[in-house]
Amino acid sequence: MELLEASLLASGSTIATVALRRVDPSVKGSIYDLLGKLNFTLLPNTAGCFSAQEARKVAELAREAFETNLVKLEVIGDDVTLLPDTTETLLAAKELVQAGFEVWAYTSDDLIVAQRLEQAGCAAVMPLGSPIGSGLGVLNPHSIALICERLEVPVLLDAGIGTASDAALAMELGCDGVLAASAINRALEPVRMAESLRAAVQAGYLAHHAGRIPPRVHAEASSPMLGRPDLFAQ
Amino acid sequence: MIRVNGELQNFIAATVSNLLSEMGIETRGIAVALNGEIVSRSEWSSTLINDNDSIEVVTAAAGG
Repeated sequence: MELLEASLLASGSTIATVALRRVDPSVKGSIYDLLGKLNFTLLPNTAGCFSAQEARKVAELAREAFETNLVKLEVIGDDVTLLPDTTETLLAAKELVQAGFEVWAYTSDDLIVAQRLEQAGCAAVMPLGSPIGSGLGVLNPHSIALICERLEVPVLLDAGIGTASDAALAMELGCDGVLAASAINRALEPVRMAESLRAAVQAGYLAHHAGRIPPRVHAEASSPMLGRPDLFAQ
Repeated sequence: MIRVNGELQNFIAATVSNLLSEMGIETRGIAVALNGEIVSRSEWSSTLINDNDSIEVVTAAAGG
């Protein structure tokens, strides 16, 4: 619990997502109390759900437990790849928005699905960079950039971050934020990794808004040719 | 016998509130489902538990 607290603080984040699991009375210390103490916004998730019906139930349990309308909607379609079931996600998103939830939807990096989720009333769309826990980073930067460009609601990169450069790239592509779980809690030194992600998100955000130079195939000298001294005059 | 979080248990509890205190569960940040239906906090003390009921008591856990 101390490591979690130190990592949360080092990350500079103000929002933390939590899963909903059976109470174990033998476990001392509560994540709910810790997040309250640190003044974090609690974002309950529906991790582990495989259908819209299940996700809806878990969201309602979370609302009851934490007195919040926020929910990070996750509906998984396959237990090997943990890739999102976008059909069930869209169905659940519509139902949850109807039921008064503020839905942040985890989804694939497909622009059209992201747009459908926005149209369904999601408050944020969270495309994956790569599969959950893979640490493969952003596998399709073009798709992520397109989603960021075409959506009005905040876009947060969810899943796949392995290290600082992945988070920086996501921000450079135009994301409004990133989610990191495994990247921090499975790192050898979680607190240090949390701090690196904080710096990476800041760097990527600055770079995105600074307007990078367009990449080009050939070199372009930064020093002018004009005004070179003639050092071999006859 | 009732089933609490998947385990068959012998509790003398008559209501959800009784059960939670008998189990020594801290009630901040938890939710209860009885036979798949959510029991809101305000109904814990009036909701009776019957033999063969299945109860889930959940809280926040780490995980994205």
